[in-house]
Amino acid sequence: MEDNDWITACLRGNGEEFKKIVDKYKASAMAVAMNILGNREDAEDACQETFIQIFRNLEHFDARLSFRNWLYAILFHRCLDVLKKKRRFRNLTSKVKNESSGRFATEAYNPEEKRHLSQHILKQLSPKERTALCLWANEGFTAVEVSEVLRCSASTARVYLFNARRKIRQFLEKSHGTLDPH
Amino acid sequence: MGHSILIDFIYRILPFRAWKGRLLRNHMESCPGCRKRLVSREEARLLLVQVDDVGDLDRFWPSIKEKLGEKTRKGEKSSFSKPAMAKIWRLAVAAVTVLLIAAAVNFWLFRKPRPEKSLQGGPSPAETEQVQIHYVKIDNEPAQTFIFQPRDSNIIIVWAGKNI
Repeated sequence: MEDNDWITACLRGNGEEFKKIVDKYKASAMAVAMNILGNREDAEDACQETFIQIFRNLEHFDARLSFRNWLYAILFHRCLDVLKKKRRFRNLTSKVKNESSGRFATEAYNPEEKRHLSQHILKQLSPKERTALCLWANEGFTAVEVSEVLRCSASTARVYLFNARRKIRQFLEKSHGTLDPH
Repeated sequence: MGHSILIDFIYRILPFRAWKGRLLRNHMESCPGCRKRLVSREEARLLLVQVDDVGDLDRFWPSIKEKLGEKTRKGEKSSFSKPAMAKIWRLAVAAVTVLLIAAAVNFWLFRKPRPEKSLQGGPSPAETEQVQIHYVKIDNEPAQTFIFQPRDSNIIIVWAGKNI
């Protein structure tokens, strides 16, 4: 309800109310963007562009729908744009192949190594699968909510989720690794 | 375990993504054994960047504010956002195009045909005073009648001839 109050205030011309919306969602939006894009710089740009787009289109927001899902849907499409641009750029320059490090939780690793490893595993997933997994695991989204963000049917969202979870498990089994927080 | 290998094999050989999706969904929703083999929420979280991992976002709002510009900062946002303006322009162009096409069609299809000129090239009968002869008799017999008007002339010549 408070989201809608802030949106109403913004639409009345109180632009500073928008800061409250940004403050509320910036961290979770950044986490989602970093999971999709794999690096902080791109994620920050995508998030800022998302909030700017939201501010400029607030009058089009349907108050009956979830603001959070609307925000993530815009963010997801922004991230896809970034990925497309990067792919185009990469095609122009050279293909970079990531090789498996082959090290998992059975070995001791520092947080930086863990981050690298996570990124490597996440790269096995498509952007839609990464987004579905991230929203489901981090934000507690249901398949229906994921489908609103990805703008697909709930059953398709379920397939993305199953695929993501299955691929990770298969990858870990193939590499004889497990996921361990310690 | 054995049937999950079979499912994996079928999944690989299916040619269309839609079929693969259907197989996966139907199987996963009905097979607890295979569902157990999926990565759990907690395991997935270990791979993903969490809100706490995001770090310092102090420059986040100032950058957005800067990008939004002076106008939006003062709440002087234009009543039409850029995408809305683009939509209005598109609609206007489409409306003008439709009107132009409608006008062209109207002109070519429904224009009044120009009155035909007389064979002699003079003004058409509608443009001149009408001459009507109801009845001509020569020697109490009906006669043949011809009406002739020379080009560019107001003179009308009536020629009556006896039927032979």
